[in-house]
Amino acid sequence: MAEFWFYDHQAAAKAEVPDPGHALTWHYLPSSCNESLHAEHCVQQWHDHRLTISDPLVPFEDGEVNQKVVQFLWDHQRVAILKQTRWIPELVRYLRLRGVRMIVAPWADNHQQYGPLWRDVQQNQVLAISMFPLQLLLPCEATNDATGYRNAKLVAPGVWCVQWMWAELSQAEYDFAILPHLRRDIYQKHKWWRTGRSGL
Amino acid sequence: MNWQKPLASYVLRTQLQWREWQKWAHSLQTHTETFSPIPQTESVTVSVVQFNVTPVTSPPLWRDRVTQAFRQAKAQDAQIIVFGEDIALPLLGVLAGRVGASADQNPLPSWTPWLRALVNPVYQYWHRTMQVLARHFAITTVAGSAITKTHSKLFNQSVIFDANGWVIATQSKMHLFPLENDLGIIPGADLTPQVFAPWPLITVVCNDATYFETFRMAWRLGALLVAVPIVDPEPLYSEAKARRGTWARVQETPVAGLVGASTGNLFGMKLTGKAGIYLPISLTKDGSGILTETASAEGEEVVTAAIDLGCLRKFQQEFAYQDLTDHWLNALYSQ
Repeated sequence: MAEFWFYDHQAAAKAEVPDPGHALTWHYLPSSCNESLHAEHCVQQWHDHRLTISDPLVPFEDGEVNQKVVQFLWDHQRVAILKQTRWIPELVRYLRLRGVRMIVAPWADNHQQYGPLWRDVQQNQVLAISMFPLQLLLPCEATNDATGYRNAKLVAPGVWCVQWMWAELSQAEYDFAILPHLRRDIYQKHKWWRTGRSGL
Repeated sequence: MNWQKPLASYVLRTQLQWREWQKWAHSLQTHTETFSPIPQTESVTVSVVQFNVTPVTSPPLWRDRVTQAFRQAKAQDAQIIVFGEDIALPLLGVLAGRVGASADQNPLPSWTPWLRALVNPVYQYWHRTMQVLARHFAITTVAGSAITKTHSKLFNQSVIFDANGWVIATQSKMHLFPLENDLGIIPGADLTPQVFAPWPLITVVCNDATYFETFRMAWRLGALLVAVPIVDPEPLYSEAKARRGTWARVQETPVAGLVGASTGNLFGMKLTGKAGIYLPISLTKDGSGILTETASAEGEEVVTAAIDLGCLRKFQQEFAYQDLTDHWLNALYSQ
């Protein structure tokens, strides 16, 4: 069972913060807070946010993509953090076709039902983590209520956790095969990403 | 036995009662209800049809319900009508008791050996019926889709007729379900520009809308309206699963989605789904992205709404596609 732990250090009481062990942990540290938990494992830090993990970063070949995404290996899987608040569906398709199985989108708007992150999860059959509030997004086939959302559970004040099994993704891919039916030949022919649109 | 399939095809052609069909078509031609409307560029009224595809025992039972859908659309001043996927398959029900399979109960794989012999007679019946009705009611008609055999290959093909009954576009399904692969259906080779439609209209088929690429290509070809005939073998309708299709695609690409749905029981599968017209959420007053949608995921219904093409065109022009000029996109499908 894989886990993602979210620590809101504004709300979490210091003495009661549990240790998740091998889980992926995300710390929300408001500027006034100077916590330095697991400093030896910290591989990425943003303003007010810090990802704590011991596994290596794996840059993409393309520098443009690296400006948008951070990729690392965790639990033998490729995980990508989207550094943007908005993105085009081509970006998550690019990540999925290069083996990414989980997206972390801390700055995505998480209030729209069936929003961009949910749509990309469904059409790429990846897992995704959104925050504020913490939610796990996964293919509809992998949730009991077929909504594609799994809410986090409160572990302690200010500490939330979501759990999943990677096999859930494989099962969803088996139940509803999407990627094997991509038509790269047709897409390459149309090249909609080029400038200079034609009309009917 | 080698003679069984040609015999079944012969029996099917007989049961489709072409002589009776000729009388029906002739009666329509002598009582034309309306003239072909002049297309407007600023708005278009669209009807989408949720149609029960449970097999019928007699062709007029199917044809009369199709005619009724046209009549309802015309009463609401529709200029475009959209039907669902596999809408011709109920006609196989006329073979009930005459071949070794029953279209409403037996699973589709049991029909596999028969399909090659039987699809073209029902395709022709569907095609000619839709053609006559499109001309009679003077409505541009996305006739849903049907399986056809061309040069020994099976395709799941959608057809658009203009208001004069001329075929203005055909489009084979490009992204197949595994079940369709097992049946020997071949995926379409390309998304074809449909240049003769009076509106910037393109049709694709069902699972094509699972892929954002389909809508990107349609938009790149200049489409404002993308018609999607669907059939969904889900015994229990799920709103979330339904939102993964056309609704999701029009949020990513600035076009309107017109969905015609097939429901009922076919080949032992229960089919549910809603017909609807979907827009980017910022173009709907309530922010839902749903301009209109049928009330229930079962049964039959025709819903109609007017789409403001001027507004949609303006939205397209403002659509931020500068992101699509990034260099990394050239490598997107290279592996």
